[in-house]
Amino acid sequence: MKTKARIRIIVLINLVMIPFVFLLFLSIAGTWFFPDVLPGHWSLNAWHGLFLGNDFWWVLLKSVVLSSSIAILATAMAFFISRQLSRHRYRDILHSIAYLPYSFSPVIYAFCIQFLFIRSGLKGTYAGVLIAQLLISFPFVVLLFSKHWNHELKNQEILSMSLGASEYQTVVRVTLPLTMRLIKLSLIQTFLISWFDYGISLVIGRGIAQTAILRIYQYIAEANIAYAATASLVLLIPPVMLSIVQHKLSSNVA
Amino acid sequence: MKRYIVVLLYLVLVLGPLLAGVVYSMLYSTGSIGLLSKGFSLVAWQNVLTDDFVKRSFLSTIFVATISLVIGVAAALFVVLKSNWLRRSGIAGIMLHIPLAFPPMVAAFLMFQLLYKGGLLSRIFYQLGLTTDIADFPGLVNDNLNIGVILCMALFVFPFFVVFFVQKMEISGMNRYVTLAASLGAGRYQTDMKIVIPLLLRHAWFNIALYWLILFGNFEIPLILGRQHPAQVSVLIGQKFTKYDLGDLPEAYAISLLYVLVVLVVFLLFLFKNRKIQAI
Repeated sequence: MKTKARIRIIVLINLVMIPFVFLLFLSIAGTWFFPDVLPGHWSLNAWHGLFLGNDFWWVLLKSVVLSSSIAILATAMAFFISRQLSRHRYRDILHSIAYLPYSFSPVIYAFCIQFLFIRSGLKGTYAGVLIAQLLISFPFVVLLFSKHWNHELKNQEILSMSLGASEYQTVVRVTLPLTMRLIKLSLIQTFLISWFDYGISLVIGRGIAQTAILRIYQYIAEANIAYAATASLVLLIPPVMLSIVQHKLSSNVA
Repeated sequence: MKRYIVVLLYLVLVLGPLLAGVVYSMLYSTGSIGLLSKGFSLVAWQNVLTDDFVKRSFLSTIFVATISLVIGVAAALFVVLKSNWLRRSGIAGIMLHIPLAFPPMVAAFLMFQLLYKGGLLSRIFYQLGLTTDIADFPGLVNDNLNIGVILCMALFVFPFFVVFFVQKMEISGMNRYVTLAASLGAGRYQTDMKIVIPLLLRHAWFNIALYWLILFGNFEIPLILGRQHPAQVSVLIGQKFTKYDLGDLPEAYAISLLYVLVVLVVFLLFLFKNRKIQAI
């Protein structure tokens, strides 16, 4: 029985790893002519080129800063706003509205609202991309928090205040610690929404505000397969690590 | 008072840009504003509504999103029902989360490298003697039937629903119903068909609707793998907006509004359905 379980896990691990192995294969395949299944020679040119003779590191760093900023801003805003919304008479309708921006295709949404960014001079800037991504990630976090503000939590806050704590002390000492797991989950999810975003960065960033995923499409469009594969592998590192953390957090929340 | 200000701020942030975008698109598509505007006109709308390409683009996108979702959800249901061990293994739980880390862009890129005529699958077929020339391999990307897009979208949906169904089976207390049905003489097939699948689908209803909308509006996958004439709706809108011909912009806004209309109809339908499910 143990052997059977082990085989199943090994098969699952192999299946999950196939895309990563394929990406690694493409990133080091030198000359690879049809109909060869394996390349004529292996090469680390793409890895060298991407990290030594290219500004990819710089673009990657900008993407990390952008996605981290989105994660922090969206989570902080949603924490305070959704707490107030949960006490509103029409909270269900207000929460349902939050599904709307998330339901639209980011690229079409961006095309429809790009005039706001042109008029405000934010098109083609990182600030513009940040605001536009926030318009999608903020409602998402409101939804994530919506079910958290239940009677139990409200009662704990009332108890804290009836014992003499101020509203500020209640939020810092009671509400925040009880919400910490959800906050971590929200930080991860919003980081990933921004990290994966192509449509908004393309339209609002206009190619001037470069992100890692835009750079990958640039390599794909140039048919620069090795560079695209290498950049994709690097792009996948944060999401894979965060997915594992997210799995642990979701298990605890559940 | 403070609460009302917060609600107002929330509505401005969530609905403000959306409404502004819709109003601007309406004005632009009717020629009321824009660089080449000559006053109110419905020409762009007439062009869009009578354009066969636009109609085919919408129908094709609806078909692709629906079929991909059906394949992805059905495959996830099948795997979860046949693999009880997935729920018990900690490593399996971690492994199932890893595919969720794939952005659509990278998934589409990999699918292209696998399926195009000079791709890995075509080479393997050639080496196995199943094809004798590069042209013998069927066109699976940028093809008329959007096979590459459907496969990629189904694979994109599949891991999410596997994780979702595994979690729902764990926390919804489904085992109690299954045990009860089994003790009353129901077989495995009957409990799956009459209890597990209906309950899982009821839990998943809203996510299925949201995923349909996400697939319907997805840009990256059809951009890399899809047919370009007529393209999927999001790509078609992208093409209209990024053309150098400014005369195409009113049509681009009109098609965007048609897309918004479809999303709103589906959104309201599923919201209504979701309320009915929650009320039961």
